[in-house]
Amino acid sequence: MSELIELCDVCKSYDKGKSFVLQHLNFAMEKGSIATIQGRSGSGKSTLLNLLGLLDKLDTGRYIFEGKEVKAGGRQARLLRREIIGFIFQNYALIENCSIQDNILIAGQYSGTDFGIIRHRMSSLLEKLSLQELADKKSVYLSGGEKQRAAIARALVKEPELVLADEPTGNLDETNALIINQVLKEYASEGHTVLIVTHNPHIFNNVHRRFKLEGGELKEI
Amino acid sequence: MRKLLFGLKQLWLGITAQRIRFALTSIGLCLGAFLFSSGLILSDSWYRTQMEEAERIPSNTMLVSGQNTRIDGIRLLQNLEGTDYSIFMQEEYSRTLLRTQLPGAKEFSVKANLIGLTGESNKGITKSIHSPDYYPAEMEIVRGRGILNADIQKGAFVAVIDELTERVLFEDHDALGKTVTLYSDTMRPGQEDLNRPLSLKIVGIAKNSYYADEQPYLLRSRYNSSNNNQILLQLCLYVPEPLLDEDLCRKVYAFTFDSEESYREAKRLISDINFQYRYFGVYSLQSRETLIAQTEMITAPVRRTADLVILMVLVLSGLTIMSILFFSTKDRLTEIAVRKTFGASTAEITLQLVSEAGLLGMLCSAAAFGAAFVLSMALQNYIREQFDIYYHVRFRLHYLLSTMLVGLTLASLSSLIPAFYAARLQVVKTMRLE
Ligand SMILES: Nc1ncnc2c1ncn2[C@@H]1O[C@H](COP(=O)(O)OP(=O)(O)OP(=O)(O)O)[C@@H](O)[C@H]1O
Ligand SMILES: [Mg+2]
Repeated sequence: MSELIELCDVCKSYDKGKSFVLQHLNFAMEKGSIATIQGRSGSGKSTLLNLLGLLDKLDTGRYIFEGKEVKAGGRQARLLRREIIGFIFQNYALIENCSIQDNILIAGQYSGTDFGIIRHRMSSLLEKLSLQELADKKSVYLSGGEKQRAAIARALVKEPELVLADEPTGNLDETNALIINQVLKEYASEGHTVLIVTHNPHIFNNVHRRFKLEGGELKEI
Repeated sequence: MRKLLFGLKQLWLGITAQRIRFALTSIGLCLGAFLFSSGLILSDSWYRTQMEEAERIPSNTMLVSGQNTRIDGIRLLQNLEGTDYSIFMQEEYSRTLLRTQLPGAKEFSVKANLIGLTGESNKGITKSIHSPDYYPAEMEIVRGRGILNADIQKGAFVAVIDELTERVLFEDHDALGKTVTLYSDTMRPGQEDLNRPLSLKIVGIAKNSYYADEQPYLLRSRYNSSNNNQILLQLCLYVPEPLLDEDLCRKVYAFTFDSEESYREAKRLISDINFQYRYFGVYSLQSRETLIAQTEMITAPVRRTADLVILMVLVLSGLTIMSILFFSTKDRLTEIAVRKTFGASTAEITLQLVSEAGLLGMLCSAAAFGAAFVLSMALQNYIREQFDIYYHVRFRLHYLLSTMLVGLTLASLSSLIPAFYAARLQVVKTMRLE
């Protein structure tokens, strides 16, 4: 199998180099694999995911997508975000005054996929995540679990090649966590690549690879 | 298509996302557009009304008058080849018809404008109407007869009045054969015959002029505003020319020419005469062109000043909207970050935010136009009375379109910088703020 994404010797710091979060980090993911990253709070998991999602720039090092280097902030990065990457934020990041449906459809607004297909996928995702009844509810009134499921539906609706999920089960109860686990695994089994940052590794068991972020470096466990 | 509809829905959701911002920007836009719209409607209606008046004058007609109109120049014009028709009118001067004290201690007088006719007028009366413009208008005789040549030669004490005057002066609305008496306003010792009251037999009733309905109105406004203790009505009486008091009249000659060429020839002639006699008082000439030029001259400064004021207010409301938008995009940050995460470019986000503002601008300006139009209609009479500005408001598509264009421009321009500013946010930082 070939690598979908690779990070080579990546450093990332904040405050103009004062606090290094990631140091000389190397990471690669194969197409169609599923992996988890764990680590202490503040160890830089979200930072890493933002880099992988092309939402933030590297200090040094290279980001390689399917063998080609990509720079965050460029046109290429934007195209990847449009079609290839599905991002699930740690804080859901739903638009409050929009319904779940609209929140999901926004992801399709910038993709080249036909809007009819997007709608079709949305309804099957809503069903899978048992959100049909809430489809027209404004997201500000949703519970945490409902928000998280909506955020996942939004990330998956354009069927991205790569899904990056930041704590998708963060504050959820067991049942919700298991639903999400199942949906993401199913998605990976369809040949997509899924990377999950998580605190509860026991929920996401039997994944292909498991990493731990510690001291700015990534170790496989 | 569905994507487009969804996009539109998103625009609307964006507009209404935050109620206070929605309300404040709407108010700003509505006010700006309203001011623009009412300014446009008022000044354009005024201009157009004046222009329409001017354009009612046939292009081959001119009115010639002078302070002490010398007959020699007039004769030259009359003998000019191609002079189709010439009439001599004496511009109305008034005598008092009725003077009485009203209950509220107001003096109430009815004045009559005497219009002297020099030509036979059995079929109709060609009259120069004084206000708000000069032009010859044909008026039909509806009952009785007109002023005949015989009347003019003899200086017979007869008069033709119009229907409005008949209605005002005679309760039974039947004036034919009755007599009106006019009293002189100027007392000149030693000229008893001039000071004598003038009793005239009414021989005919003429159809109201184009301005008959406006007449009492205009006159009331003019005299009421200058003298609050007096109500003055002015009515029109057409009489044989010899009955007029030579000293008090200003003579106006109307010429009609059968071709453009003779018309131009006459103009040249008058300017020649005016040059020769430049130290003795000149003829003034009024025609369609001079009136149009005059209208332009009168309206242009007012219109330009209004434009300037409106422009300044628009800039002001634009700046206000801009500052509102600058400080009220917080609720949109997540949305913008999400959109960027899903691949929207800064330009796309800017476009979206500007379109939201533009859409709101168009909606607001359409509403503002409605209000401005209704207000202009309602103010029509008031302004006419108070400022003696005479105008008709009519719906014109370009009022609506230009108001909407201004609304769109105002909104888009004032939202452009805040939108660009907001669209440039960094996703990662924004998400940390949550
Ligand atoms: N914009 C920033 N400026 C300065 N420091 C930052 C910034 N973003 C993150 N950090 C710091 O970088 C470190 C890593 O943050 P990050 O959010 O990646 O941690 P995390 O592993 O996701 O933690 P958690 O499990 O709590 O979500 C933290 O110490 C944080 O304070
Ligand atoms: Mg995190």
